[in-house]
Amino acid sequence: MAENNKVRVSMKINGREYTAEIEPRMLLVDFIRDIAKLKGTKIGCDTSQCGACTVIVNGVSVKSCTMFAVEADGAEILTIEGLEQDGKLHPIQESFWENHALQCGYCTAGMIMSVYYLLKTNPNPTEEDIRRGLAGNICRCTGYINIIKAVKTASQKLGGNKP
Amino acid sequence: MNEYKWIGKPIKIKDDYYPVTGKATYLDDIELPNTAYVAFLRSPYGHAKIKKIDYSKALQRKGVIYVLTGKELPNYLSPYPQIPKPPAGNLVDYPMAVEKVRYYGEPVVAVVAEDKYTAEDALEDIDIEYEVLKPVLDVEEAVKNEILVHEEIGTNIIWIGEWNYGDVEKALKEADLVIEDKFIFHRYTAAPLETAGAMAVYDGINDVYTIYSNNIMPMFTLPLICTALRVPPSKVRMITPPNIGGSFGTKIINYTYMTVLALLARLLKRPIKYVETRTENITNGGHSNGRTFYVKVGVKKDGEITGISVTAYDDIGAYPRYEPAGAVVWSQVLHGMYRVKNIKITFYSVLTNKPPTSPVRGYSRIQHNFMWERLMDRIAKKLGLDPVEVRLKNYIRPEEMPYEGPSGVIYDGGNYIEALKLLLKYLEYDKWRELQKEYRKQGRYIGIGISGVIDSGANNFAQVKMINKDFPVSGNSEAALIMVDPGGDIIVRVGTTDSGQSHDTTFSQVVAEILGVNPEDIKIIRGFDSWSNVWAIHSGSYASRNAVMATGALIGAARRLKEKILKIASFLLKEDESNLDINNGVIVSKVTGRSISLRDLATIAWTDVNLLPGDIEPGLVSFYIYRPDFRRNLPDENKRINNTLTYSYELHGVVIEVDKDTGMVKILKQVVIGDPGIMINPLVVEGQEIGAAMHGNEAALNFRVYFDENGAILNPNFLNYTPMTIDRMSNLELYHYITPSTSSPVGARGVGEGGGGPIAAIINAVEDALEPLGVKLIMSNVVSEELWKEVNKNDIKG
Repeated sequence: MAENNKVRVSMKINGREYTAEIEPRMLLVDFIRDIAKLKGTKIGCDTSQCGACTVIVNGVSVKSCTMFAVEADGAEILTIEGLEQDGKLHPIQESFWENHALQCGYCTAGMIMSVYYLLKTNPNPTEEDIRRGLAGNICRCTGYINIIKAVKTASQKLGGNKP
Repeated sequence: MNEYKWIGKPIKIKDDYYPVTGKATYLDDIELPNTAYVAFLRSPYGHAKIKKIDYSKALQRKGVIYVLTGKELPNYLSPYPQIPKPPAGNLVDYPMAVEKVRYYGEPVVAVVAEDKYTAEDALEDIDIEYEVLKPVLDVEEAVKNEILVHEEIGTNIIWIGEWNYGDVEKALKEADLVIEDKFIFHRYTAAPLETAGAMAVYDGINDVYTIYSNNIMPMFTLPLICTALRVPPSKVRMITPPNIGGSFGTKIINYTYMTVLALLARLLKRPIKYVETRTENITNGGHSNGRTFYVKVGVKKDGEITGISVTAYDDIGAYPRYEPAGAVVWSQVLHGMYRVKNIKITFYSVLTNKPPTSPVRGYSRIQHNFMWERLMDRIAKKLGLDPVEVRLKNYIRPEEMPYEGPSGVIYDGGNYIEALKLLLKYLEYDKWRELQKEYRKQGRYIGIGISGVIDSGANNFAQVKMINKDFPVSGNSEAALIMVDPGGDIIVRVGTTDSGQSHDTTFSQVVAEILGVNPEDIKIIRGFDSWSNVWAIHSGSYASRNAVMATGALIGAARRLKEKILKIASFLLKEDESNLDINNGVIVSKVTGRSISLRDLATIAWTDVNLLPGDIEPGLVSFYIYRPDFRRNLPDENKRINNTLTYSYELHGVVIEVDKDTGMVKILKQVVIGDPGIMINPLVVEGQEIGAAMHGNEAALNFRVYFDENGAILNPNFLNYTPMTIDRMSNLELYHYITPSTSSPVGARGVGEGGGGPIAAIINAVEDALEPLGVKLIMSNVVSEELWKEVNKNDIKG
């Protein structure tokens, strides 16, 4: 694609402004990884099944491979790197760590962002709610059992409040 | 049982910090300036001649740098070495197709471009003219040699092995009943969430290639790459990043990508990167071996097995790559959990026009375990016995442990009988058998299935010598280096790669145990670099080896270091060495109470060296390469060898229901009993056991690669090759029945592959559920559509 087809895109990721001239077809996940250089967000498939690229766009969880970067122009985005506050891990991060809710860790960023949205919309989820809420995130290692535990722990830590 | 301070404790997993904060570094997270990206144009056929390739249009596309075709590879590369002797040893294997394509997805053209989008786009600019050939897809067709995958060797059978112990003919004659059966183990892939990939850089001054990859046994694949590139090992530096996003065995065969990237890096003088798409990973990232078994088993009326005769055909795909090594790996579990002495197995390793296979969690044993565990249920049904009874009749007895099997294996402890009783208790076996009767009256299809598997760990490569006694590989080894630095901090390097096994944590626990320090004070260097890390040639993470192999190396290095520390302390404190021990980082005399901290001692050892005794080398560093004694280290002429060090076992039980309306199998209850021996960190071990069980569930219920008549794969992405999701995963219960290993350094057994435990349990349960309909299942995977037809066959017309 010719240079002159590039478009200027700006978005705020984890509170910081990123602006770039990009091809309109660039996926949001590639903007996050290759333009903003935030490598915590992962790519695990090519059909939007795996959820490794899940981020929060304007308060809603989005698989960032299903969205063009141009669609996120002007958006506020939260990624895994933005959860830690003042050197303190977010309660969801703590819960994943305490429950060993991961092994290889490749799904973890997307999984945690999905949990963030799940607890935001449903601060006291039942196991059924957790299983439904995270069905779009694939973990190949854990068998999910510790992930369910971690979400319950996180919900308790947050005391029923939204993250 | 030894009392340990740190080994066995479920301490918090240090490794988890990196992924939960987004700070983990995987292959694709590493960027080098001026990198170019590769995309492969792959074969759409299972078997075809390449008539013509036209890539002129691709070269005109803006951003395209270079196009390489497989046809050109012989100008630059040598074929990979082969394990077997000729004729199979004459097989020619390049990382891309040269004259014909032999499997769906075989790389034919590599495009190099400024970015990955352009590289992929340019694939559409390339025209390839093929002459489509009839593929051979079925392993039993392939052995007829009517269609040859590799003309140059004149056969599709690359190796035939026979294992023959006792007197099988006599045993079958003495049986009350001889049962004949056929089982098929299907093809699937493990699909780690991070796909395989690599990046290569060429240093023209030194003629050195640096290869970054997520390969899990880089030093073992190095000789293959060096042979292809025609360079000595010193010219290739292998790096793996701190994090690998899962492997389950499959990230061993990505050396083919590394070879092509290294070549391109040299030709183009730029860093070259390639990461598989998910579709490429499912089609070509390494499939499990398909295997067809013909079984003849002799039994007494009470269920005792007198002898067994098996012919197995292993479908290895179009290139042996890691094979026929897999053709001998299964013999680690030759007799399963059973005390059968008369065994004859004839094993064919066979080429087909399917993608190459690779190790997949449970590699090669999973198929063999499946055969045994299906057979036990078939025997029970034929004799009108309970499957539990038949197993109890034939299990190796606890008093026979350590058990020496007919093929020379030495099972390192366990109590199969008590573990099975535990399984039945937690599964509520008797209750479900009663319920099953009730449900059957209501027209519901409830089934109960059990299976027991051997999950062997820490392999002995000498088994490869069964195939070729002159092939220069045997045993196993692992390296560790431990340093107390001048500030008193402990730094550890090991040759392993970590793809989710929490090595930082477990290795710290082992070193802390020996050195008398806290695991938190130990820094494990993450990632692998053949130029700066320590390694042994067998280094890596495969074959469930590191609970034994890394532990052995770490203990060796830590003991050496401790000896030196105590020697120096003895001199400085004027105390006999035997009075001294290290406690919480302080060297203390049990007699006088005199002490020196490890930190102060380290400062003297490194910087104030004239205070050291004259015969002591400055510094506090130790290095150790561990090599286990397998007791039967090399195979004899009858293939007798102890071909792995530990033999953990797992028992699986499931209760399932086949839904009459959909044919779907729902798991109502699932229980796993594991005996991993001493667990270095229970959190890690349990994680591996549950994860392996999930992979077994998937293999039985989800994962199967489908081929059309041309050998094309019909379900190459997560839309139709569907991993287990959290909403469908069973709520399995895991319990332990612990017996320490009699073979390994701390009594730990290798675990993590699970031996494919749930596969046979689920298939047994489905067959049990459908018994009133007389359904016989042959394969290791069931599909709802097929089951729906079975349960509704009386209602389906025409």
